[in-house]
Amino acid sequence: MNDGPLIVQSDKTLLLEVEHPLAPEARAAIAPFAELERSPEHVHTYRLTPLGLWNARAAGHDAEQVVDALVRYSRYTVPHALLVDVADTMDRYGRLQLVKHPTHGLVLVSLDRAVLEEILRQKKIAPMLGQRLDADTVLVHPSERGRLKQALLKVGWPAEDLAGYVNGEAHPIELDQREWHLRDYQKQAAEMFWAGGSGVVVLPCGAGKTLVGAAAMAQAQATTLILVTNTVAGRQWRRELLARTSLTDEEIGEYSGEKKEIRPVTIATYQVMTTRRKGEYRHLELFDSRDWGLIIYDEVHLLPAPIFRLTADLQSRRRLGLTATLIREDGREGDVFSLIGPKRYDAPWKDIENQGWIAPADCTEVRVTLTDAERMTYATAEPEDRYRIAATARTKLPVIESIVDRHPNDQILVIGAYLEQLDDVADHLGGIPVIQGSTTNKERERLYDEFRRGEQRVLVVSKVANFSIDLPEAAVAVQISGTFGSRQEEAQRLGRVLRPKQDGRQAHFYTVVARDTLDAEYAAHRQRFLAEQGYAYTIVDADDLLRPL
Amino acid sequence: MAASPARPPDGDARTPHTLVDWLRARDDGRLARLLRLRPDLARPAPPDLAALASRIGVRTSTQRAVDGLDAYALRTLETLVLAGDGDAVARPPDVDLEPLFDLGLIWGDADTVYLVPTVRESVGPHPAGLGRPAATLFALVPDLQLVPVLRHLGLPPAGQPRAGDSVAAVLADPERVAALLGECDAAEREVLAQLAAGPPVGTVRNTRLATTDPQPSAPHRLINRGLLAPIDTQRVELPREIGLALRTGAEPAAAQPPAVELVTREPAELDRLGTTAVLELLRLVDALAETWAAQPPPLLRSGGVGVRELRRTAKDLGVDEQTAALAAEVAYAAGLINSTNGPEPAFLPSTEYDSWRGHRPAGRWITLATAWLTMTRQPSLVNQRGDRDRMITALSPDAERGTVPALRRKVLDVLTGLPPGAAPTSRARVLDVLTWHEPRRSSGQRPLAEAILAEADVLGLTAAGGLTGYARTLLSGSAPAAEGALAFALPEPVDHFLLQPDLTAVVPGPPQPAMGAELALLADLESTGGAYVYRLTERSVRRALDAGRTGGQLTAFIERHSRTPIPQALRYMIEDAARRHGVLRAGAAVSYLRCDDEALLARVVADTAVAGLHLRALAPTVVVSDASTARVLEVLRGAGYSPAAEAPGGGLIALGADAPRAPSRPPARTFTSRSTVESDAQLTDLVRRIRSGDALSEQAHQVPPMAARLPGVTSAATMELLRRAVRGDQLVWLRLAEADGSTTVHEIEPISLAAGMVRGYERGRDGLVAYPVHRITAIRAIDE
Repeated sequence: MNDGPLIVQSDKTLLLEVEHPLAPEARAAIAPFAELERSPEHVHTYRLTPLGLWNARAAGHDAEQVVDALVRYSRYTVPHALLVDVADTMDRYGRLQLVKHPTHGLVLVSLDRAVLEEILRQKKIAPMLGQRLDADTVLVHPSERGRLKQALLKVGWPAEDLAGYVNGEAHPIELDQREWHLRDYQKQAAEMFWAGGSGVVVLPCGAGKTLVGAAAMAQAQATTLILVTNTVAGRQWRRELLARTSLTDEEIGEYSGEKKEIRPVTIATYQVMTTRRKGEYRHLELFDSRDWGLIIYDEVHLLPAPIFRLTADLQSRRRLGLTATLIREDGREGDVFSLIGPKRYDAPWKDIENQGWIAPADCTEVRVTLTDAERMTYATAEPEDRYRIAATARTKLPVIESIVDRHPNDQILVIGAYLEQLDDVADHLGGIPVIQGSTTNKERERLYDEFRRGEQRVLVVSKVANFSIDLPEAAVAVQISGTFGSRQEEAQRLGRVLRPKQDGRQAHFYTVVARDTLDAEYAAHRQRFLAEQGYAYTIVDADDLLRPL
Repeated sequence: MAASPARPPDGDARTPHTLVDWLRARDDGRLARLLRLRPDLARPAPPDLAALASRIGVRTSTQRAVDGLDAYALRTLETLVLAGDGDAVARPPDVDLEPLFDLGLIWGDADTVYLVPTVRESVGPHPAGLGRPAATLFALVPDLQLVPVLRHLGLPPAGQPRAGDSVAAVLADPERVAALLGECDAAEREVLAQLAAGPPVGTVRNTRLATTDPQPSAPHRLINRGLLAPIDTQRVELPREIGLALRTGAEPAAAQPPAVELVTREPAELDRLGTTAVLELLRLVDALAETWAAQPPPLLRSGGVGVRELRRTAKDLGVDEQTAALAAEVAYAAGLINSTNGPEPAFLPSTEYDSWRGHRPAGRWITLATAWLTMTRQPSLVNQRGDRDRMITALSPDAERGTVPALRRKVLDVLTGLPPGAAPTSRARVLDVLTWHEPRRSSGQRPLAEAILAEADVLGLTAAGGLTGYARTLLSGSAPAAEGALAFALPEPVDHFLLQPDLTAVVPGPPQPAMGAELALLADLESTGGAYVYRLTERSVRRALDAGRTGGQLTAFIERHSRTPIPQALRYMIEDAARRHGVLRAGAAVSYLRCDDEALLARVVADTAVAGLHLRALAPTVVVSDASTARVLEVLRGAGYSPAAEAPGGGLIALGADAPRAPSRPPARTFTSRSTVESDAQLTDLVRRIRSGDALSEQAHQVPPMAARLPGVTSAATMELLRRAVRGDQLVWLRLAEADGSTTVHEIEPISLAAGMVRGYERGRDGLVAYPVHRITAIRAIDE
């Protein structure tokens, strides 16, 4: 038994004891092939998955290195079957290769004839393949490149895509680093993406994902299509690009519900791309309207299904996915992998926080005891109404007020899911503006600007603010209700306050929940994600908070 | 009878003439060896050598012996079978015949060897995968089909039997055969090569097409040239002469089993590797018991557990169905699970499971491993199609294979033969050794043997394919020593855990039993392996509270064992759960009294006349009693009240019952191999008895048995002879009928005759012997 920091579990998870002196070394050794699943305070959990192992293969690691890392840092003997399995799995990658044939175009080449025979007999795969050129080579129609990769991944023979990318229409883009510099991890993320060709970069909210995108654009030196969640986020991208790169106003187009501009760099929303009229996607031609050299998917974990299908046709273009979390509530992580590309860069939140790039956050759960009347209403409510009733309890109002009062010098966001409740809160706090789905983009922009400038200290926002709004000065977020137990929503909301503050102030994240109700249960579920990311929640009783300071 | 169909034509005085004579000439050690190698010959004990000789030639016995030959001995025997038509082989090839002599498959001496009767049949029609001789084959081919052959070979047209003979004569000439083979094209060569490698019989579309088809296929062309003999309309056979010609230069059978390529590790490292499987197996069995106790799979009418139930179990256990079936089968064989008796029988953990759990991990594993070694069921058959294409389900009778324990032993013996710490590079190598040892059984055994090797890996008897030290000890028969060795190899139990803010507790090693049990109550096991990860949820905390723990106790337990500070969220969770726990109360009562008049009810409760009812007030208007409703009414009426009975409501459900358990079952019957070798002393004794029986039967035809002369009477002559012998210190021969019906023969010097027993000294035995007189079937005085 050597006294290593790593423990291998039979379900193929790896436990890394953080306090162990060899932990950093072991982490570096396993990071290329194991996916970080949870990183709470003491023991981090990594998972060995076929995707992760193939990723490592794609990055040039071989099975021997993987086995060596496991054996060297493991505290107990590693089950032999697991090592064999690792070697076998890694060996499956690259038996099939997608390459460009000088005369025939895109072909699938096998280095193992038996594998080719096997997949030729697969009912789902055979129709995607064309004529067999020789014993080891089969023609592939270029339009099937994505779907073929998807299907091969599903049957466990992932193809190595060596067919390369089109360069696209060249367009000069330079980073303008006179007043700022790319952070190390941003530079590293952009480089790893470029080396891999396509893939996803996972960085916490507030860690500057936009700049990774900008750096990738500067590498590509080509026209770029950027897909974002909503118009406000798109405008934010535009602002960032104008400030940080050589791009000018005329070079950046907006393709949204309001404007339809196509320029060398075009920012489009998911929503407009997936708008259908008479059952047809009307705006798909955007993908073909220019010879894009790079496509950036912002918040890739929210990528809607139609975009996946479109992406399957775009396999010859470089694709960069940006996200804070690969967790998809719909479980389509595999599609992200096969269509956008493997994860190219990942850093635990706490690491980046420790480097000072995101504001340290202090998470507090405030428990409110409902009044007897509210409890009775809750107890007798229909099951489908119960969460709403608990989450929107009026008892929360004075608590919210007292939280706002506690931070007189901070910019505060109050975030909720129920519009009535938001209006109530806004009234209670003395007529504060509310931003919700029906607020016009112009109005939103105005309010956000005021908030950024400090003219508006408190904003009440609905779900629309979950993503991609850059409000760097927001230091306090108060979550009063949510979308049931959505874990990624919690992460996104925390992200709102994680941008580093000018004076390095601490960020505060409050969740107000009603004790002994579904509200508390959902809150516990949502918190699990952040707890796994290393954030500890403090629980405070509302009565303690309401007492005079 | 003397079993000797073929007598040597000119044997001299020293050469035994018959199998019996040959057996008689063998020394005792060799006879004992024969009985050891073919234990079926010794059951029941043959009375004399003639009986032994006739048993040696019984078909089932020779078949078993032939099937048990290793590759080299089999090839030797096949050579002898090929060397002659009859059972006698003059001038046998210069190879080591001793193993075959020892087995009693052949007899004779270096000059002439005789096959024991039925050996030829046991070897089969195609010894060494060669076809029958051309003379035999072509004698059976119809005239019409021989016409093109005769033409091709340049022979004059003729009818049977002359035609067949002339074809055979051509094939007997090696030069002609070589020439004929030289004419073959590639396709024909391939056909020939395939049949030459054996078996020599192949199937073709229609052998008659050879003569009519204008463009005959390769097999048909070969038929036309006499290189293949049609044996019916569908099959052809390669004549032996052609097969031999094609085989020249082939590898002779290896005299030694093939060497196994090895990866050698430190024995201690191999043991540690095995412990990961050991701990996983223990977890699987625990998880299986837990999930089956919660949701008992019903016993199918055809026996066993349904396919869907097994799938669910596998999912619960987080393993594939094959592994789940293995865990279930082994647990069942160890008596840890059993089916209940009742109208709807189902599988549940048994009471043995509860006591098994109390043992140390090493001891628990030994129980499981021993059960696996001796169980007559083959788990790998589960989910395969069995007889009549029926799916074999786990724990069903269809998975019974009586020969499997012996096979397990044989497979593991191959591994035992390897040096400690060594592991074969692949399972195929081990199977090759097994094939060498029993080539004739290999085709049927190979898939089972492969499954056995895989199971041994899952169970932790082997690690990475190599036999672990503790399993080696267990196989050598010492379970306590094996337990000690395993306990030494297992990682040290850990008495602490690391609590994390995401409410998981990580035990970085196998948990100490007491702590593990408490933690399993308080939290849900999430992953196992090197470490044990538990997740605390409100539900799991409530489960601990239900089991009688208080919030304070739980917090104290966690504080005692956690190496890290308790997250505040956990404290809150435990406090919340404890606060809510037990707000609703349930209990049992047999009857109730209710009354809207609180004062009246209070009076009843206080009334000493009804104290026997043990009335308890639950609320001002409700009182319960342990007495039956009828009794309550009776007592109340007797005390002067006027109660009325209410229509019965729902029944009561007792809470807090123990976890369901199946009735106790004696552990699965242990398997005793048919081939269990008797001790040397037993065998020596047996041989001695056979010999003396033989000596007696030799003389028996000189002196007819007494009983035969005077049927039904223990004759006066017998008594007289015995009495004379006692007086005159004479030796006598006795033949006795034994209790089991066999007869034995003794040579004793009688010293007394009393109470129907004759006592005396027997040659080759210490002390006095005593035999009942009425058992004596023959007697004769021996003159010294």
